[in-house]
Amino acid sequence: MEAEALEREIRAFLEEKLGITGIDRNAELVSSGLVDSGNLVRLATQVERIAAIEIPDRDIDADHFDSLAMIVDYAVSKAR
Amino acid sequence: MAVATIRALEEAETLIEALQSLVEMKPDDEALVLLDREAGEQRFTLSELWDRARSVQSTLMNRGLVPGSVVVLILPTSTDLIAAYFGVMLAGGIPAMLSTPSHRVSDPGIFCDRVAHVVANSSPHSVICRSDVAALFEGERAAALGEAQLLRPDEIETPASFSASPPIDPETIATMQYSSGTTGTPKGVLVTHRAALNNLRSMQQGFEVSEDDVAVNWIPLYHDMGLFGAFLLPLLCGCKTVLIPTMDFMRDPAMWLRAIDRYRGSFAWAPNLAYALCAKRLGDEALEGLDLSSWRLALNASEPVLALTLAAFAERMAAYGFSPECMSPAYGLAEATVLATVHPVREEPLCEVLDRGLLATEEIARPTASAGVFCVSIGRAIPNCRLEIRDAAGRPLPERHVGKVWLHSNALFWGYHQNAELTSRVLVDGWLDTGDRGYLADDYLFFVARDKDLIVIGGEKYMPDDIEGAINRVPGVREGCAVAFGVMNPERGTEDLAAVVETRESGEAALADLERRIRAEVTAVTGLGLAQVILTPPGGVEKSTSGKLARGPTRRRYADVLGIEA
Repeated sequence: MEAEALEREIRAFLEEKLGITGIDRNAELVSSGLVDSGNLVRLATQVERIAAIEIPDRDIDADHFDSLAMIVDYAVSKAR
Repeated sequence: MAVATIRALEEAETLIEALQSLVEMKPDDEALVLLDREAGEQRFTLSELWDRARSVQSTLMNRGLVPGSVVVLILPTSTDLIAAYFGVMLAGGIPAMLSTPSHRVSDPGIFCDRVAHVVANSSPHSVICRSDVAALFEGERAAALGEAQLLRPDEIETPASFSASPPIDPETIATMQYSSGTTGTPKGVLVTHRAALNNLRSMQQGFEVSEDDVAVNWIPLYHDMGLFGAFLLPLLCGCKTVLIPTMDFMRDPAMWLRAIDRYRGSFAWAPNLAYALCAKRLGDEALEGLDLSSWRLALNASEPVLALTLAAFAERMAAYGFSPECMSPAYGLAEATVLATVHPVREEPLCEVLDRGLLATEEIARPTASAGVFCVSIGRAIPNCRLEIRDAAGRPLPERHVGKVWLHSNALFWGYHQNAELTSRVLVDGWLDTGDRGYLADDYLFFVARDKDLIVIGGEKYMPDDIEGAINRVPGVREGCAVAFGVMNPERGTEDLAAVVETRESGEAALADLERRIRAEVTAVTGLGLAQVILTPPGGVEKSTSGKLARGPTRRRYADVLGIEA
């Protein structure tokens, strides 16, 4: 999947399911407290589905999922 | 055969004896199944478990474990954890389980601080964890472990011959359970073999567990409901015990229901949140083809049970063979090993609608035909357990009067580790002050509120002090003028976290920035998101006449803003 389409889908998930709207693609999600640990797991599961990748438990953290831009980079690197 | 395996539990004097007689009775029984997202299904026979536990015992004894010393286990649900749990006991030690870091807090420094508090409280001989967790304690964080040795599961050696266990008797401490709190002095609940076995036997009778039952669970084993209810009860009754790591359930909740279908699961425990999640969040495609007709007992415990959740779950799962009478709300606490009350099996949950005014002003629970407060019964006392509702002065109250719930049973805890003062406050003349408020009607217990300010989210307990401590560290917050509390979210089936915080800052931008920093700090400390933050000028937080934070009154003051009833 193209990075842009991926970003659109993740943004839609954040808006519709987690109620996080109008965020910049570099805005902090986890370290700002917008996404808590429970929702972080939901988000990762969703990214797995959208990007058709497998994400190991140890990668589900702020180092990989703290912003929309980071998530897209991560998913693209895993999809390769 | 069924009678023989239950006898293992009935006649044993220690948990180890119960396991050992089962191992002798049916060594090749594949009693334990672990369902892992990555590894798939792994089956273990009782003798394999036993041998692995003996290897842990031998490794610990070779490393100089002295009977009575504590071993901290920081492992996900796995055979490593189960072998270590029994292995520590076999070596004469006291196992104490803690959650792994990814589950609760996002900041490794805060996780290490919590471990440091537990280490300071229990002076453990060793800490058993995997390499990823061990790595967190390298460098300057090594001090968190004190004198404790670090032991990884891959360092467990299988000896050429097993050495004898030190003597264990019914009064030996079997387990230490650490309850809520990420900072400050942790409370280590000590449970003897006698109390643990007594509670397991009462549960076996109360739930009518037989060898034919199959337990399928994902709740974490560091929690009393997971350790005693989901793991020791089925295993020591000779049932097939299927365990799913908690993280796997969080990623794919339908995995739990599919496992119940696949293994013909008959009993399972979960907090209300999990039933709400399955009823509301799973799509039809995730449930397609499920057959839940084998599920005879769905225990709902460790947080308030909502009538709305019971109805939603029963309605959604009816098409898959689940009957409403299979849901049994239950109640317990670590200080009573785990379980105190359960709704009778094969009876539909009992729900009352109470007169709101009478409940608020007189604390009397009178059913009403019109709109009122919904209250779900959490069941009747299990065998060998008695309940009393008392007023603030400790006098027993009549039926339908709301008061403090006290309980007496043969499964009460021994005491808090190194905290005699706190122990004597909750354990009075053989009765336990649960800290919860409720009422009795025809021997059915109804939960009304917690006496303590504890916040319970998905069955996990959080101290408001921890959350307030995190908020107080944020520059711009008036120190000591922040309160945190839980606000019930019926849609999620559990509490949300809310805070009222005083600040002298003003201006939209400054306040928005302060709110962002408060959220960030709370998430870093607890892993939780703050659903609502209310920033107020000085004076916005209620305090008692002696200057203590008054969480209840503050919560009521902002009821409108929070969207709750005052």
